[in-house]
Amino acid sequence: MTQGKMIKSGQRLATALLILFLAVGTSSAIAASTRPANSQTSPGWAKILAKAKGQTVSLWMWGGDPKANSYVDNVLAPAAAKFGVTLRRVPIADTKDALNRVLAEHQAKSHHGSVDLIWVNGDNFKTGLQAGIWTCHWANHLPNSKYESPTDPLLISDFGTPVNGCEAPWHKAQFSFVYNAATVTNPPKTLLDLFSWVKSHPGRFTYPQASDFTGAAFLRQSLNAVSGGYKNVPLAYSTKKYNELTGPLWKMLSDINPDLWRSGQTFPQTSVELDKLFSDGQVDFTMTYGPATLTQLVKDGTFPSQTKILPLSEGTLGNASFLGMPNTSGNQAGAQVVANIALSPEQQLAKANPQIWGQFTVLDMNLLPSHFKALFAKLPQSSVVPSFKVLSHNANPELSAAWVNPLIDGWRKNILHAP
Amino acid sequence: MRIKSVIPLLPPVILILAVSGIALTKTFLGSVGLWNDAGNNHGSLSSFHTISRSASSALVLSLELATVSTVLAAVLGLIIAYLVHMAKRFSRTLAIVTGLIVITPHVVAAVSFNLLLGDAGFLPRFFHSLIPSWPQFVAGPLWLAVIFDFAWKESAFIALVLVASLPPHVPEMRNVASTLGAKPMRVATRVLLPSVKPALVIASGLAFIYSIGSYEATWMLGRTYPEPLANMTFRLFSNSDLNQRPQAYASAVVSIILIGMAAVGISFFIPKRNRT
Repeated sequence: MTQGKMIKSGQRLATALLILFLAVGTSSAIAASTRPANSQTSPGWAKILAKAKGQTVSLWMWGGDPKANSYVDNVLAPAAAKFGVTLRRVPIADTKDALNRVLAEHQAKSHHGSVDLIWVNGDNFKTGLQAGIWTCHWANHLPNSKYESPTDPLLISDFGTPVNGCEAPWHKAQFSFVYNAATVTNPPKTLLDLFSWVKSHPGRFTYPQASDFTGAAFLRQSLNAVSGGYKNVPLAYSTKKYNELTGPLWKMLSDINPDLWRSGQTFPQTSVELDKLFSDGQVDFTMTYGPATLTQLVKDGTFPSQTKILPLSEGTLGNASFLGMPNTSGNQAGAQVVANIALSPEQQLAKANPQIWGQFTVLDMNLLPSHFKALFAKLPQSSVVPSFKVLSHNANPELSAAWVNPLIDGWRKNILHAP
Repeated sequence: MRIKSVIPLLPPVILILAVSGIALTKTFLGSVGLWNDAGNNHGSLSSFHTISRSASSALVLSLELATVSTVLAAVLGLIIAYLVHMAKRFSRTLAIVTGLIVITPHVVAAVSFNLLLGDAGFLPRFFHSLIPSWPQFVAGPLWLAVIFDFAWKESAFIALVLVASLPPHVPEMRNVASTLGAKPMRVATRVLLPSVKPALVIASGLAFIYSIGSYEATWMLGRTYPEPLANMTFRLFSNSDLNQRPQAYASAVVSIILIGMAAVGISFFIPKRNRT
């Protein structure tokens, strides 16, 4: 057996033991909340549970995160199987692939489409609303939604678009800048400091082109920074505010452009490409809206051992991601059961564990039974990613999805096409 | 007799025509606003007007990349075909290797070229002491990695077509020419090349068309800007605002017209006996 295989086997064993520990350690709590016959026995829900039995639910999700794939296959799917629902993960390169499939099935007026759930948020959610592909007013009736805070701004609107029960919360995320502490010895404290660092370290920083999800988030984060803080940028889009606020943004990005990797003549197409530049030591920073992946990337040696998250005093953007259910799905009962399981305290607990996935929970600790609260408090901490409390300090609310495209177009015009 | 021989081919041909026909119809209707994914259909040519400026520069870049890579692929393909034809010992091995290149998926080829030629790839690491400042093959101003990728893949395709299309009397003619004192280069240019000329033009034409329509290699190995037509179409189609889809369809229509023109050009080289 090679060393790599041994490490992999060890990791699998550790994950299995961890799942077993969670299963045993929280057995009483789990029994109380995941067993089909529990408090979740309203007549409507009982009908959904009965209808869901025997259904196969296809969850379309970005397949580039091995931990996410492992969590769904090894933790969520077995939990769904207890309810008689087969969960099938469909890995995709981009959430838009799932949307396009649903769009085609929607236009064909199919009611037995191939997509039952999509891991989605932000502009993709808005696109789905624009096309009328979502089933709405179901997610807020899930039994486990009682553990969500009804006033949590990240859960009641998705990039400024009211959720209206069209998608069930899955986890929270925080936009994070990541650096190599071995090469960045005096890390910047604000984004404007980072821009100064870029100018004094030519070729050691870049960001994904703006059409990329992470690249677009970088633009919004930069807009907040050059505007003097997120409070100066209205969440709702208006052309007047766009014209007023983006001038300094384009000036700042133009100023640092010659000092970017490849002198700003080209940009990584995706955040994955930026991560590769970071792991190859070609740049000293990367950025992500999914810091949960960092622990494993450092552990397996993909990222440098001195990889750290850059805490910015002005805070960073935060959002939540969701499970959306298209109205073309022929397995809506099964999809709702899976979404409800995914929202359960024990699943959120397992998913929050850095050794399983490390995603931040959407549940409100004050609404959880005390034993779950204690279990969440006991979760092991990642050596790379700080707790959500630390990471989300001074969190910036996401701008409305209506900002996304004008900023992308503006970047292409002012930065990419600039002479 | 002729109709009978065509009948078995009808089911796949009908399927291909149906799929292509529906896709092309949707693309054309979408480009003029008559099939809007957001649901608000209204006929308009504004999408063509909106993309006209960027489409023209994208078109020029696509033509440049396709032309250079196709010429390179044709030359390489011809050389490989010649070697397969002439080298008795290694011809089978060479043919198998060429076949393997053909079946390698384009995405895999693009990733491989990135790992080979990228700034932190295998070759810059291997030659680090010799060439400390590695040229910008990937995402560079000359799009070299893209051209190499297309040329590598398409040369194998062209070579296989040429080998398969060699007329049966060529070996005899080659022997006669050699007996009369012709050197290998003269045999290649005077015997082999004229024999495979129609196949070479058609295979190169197909490679050219593929290069125009493909976006994987240009997306992964090329620059963010300027962008070839296929990248522009893909980017516009991926936009989260469905109201921008007509522009993506318009961009695709420009590609279709270009490809159609190339296909018509190729058809003139199909030998008359093979035309149906």
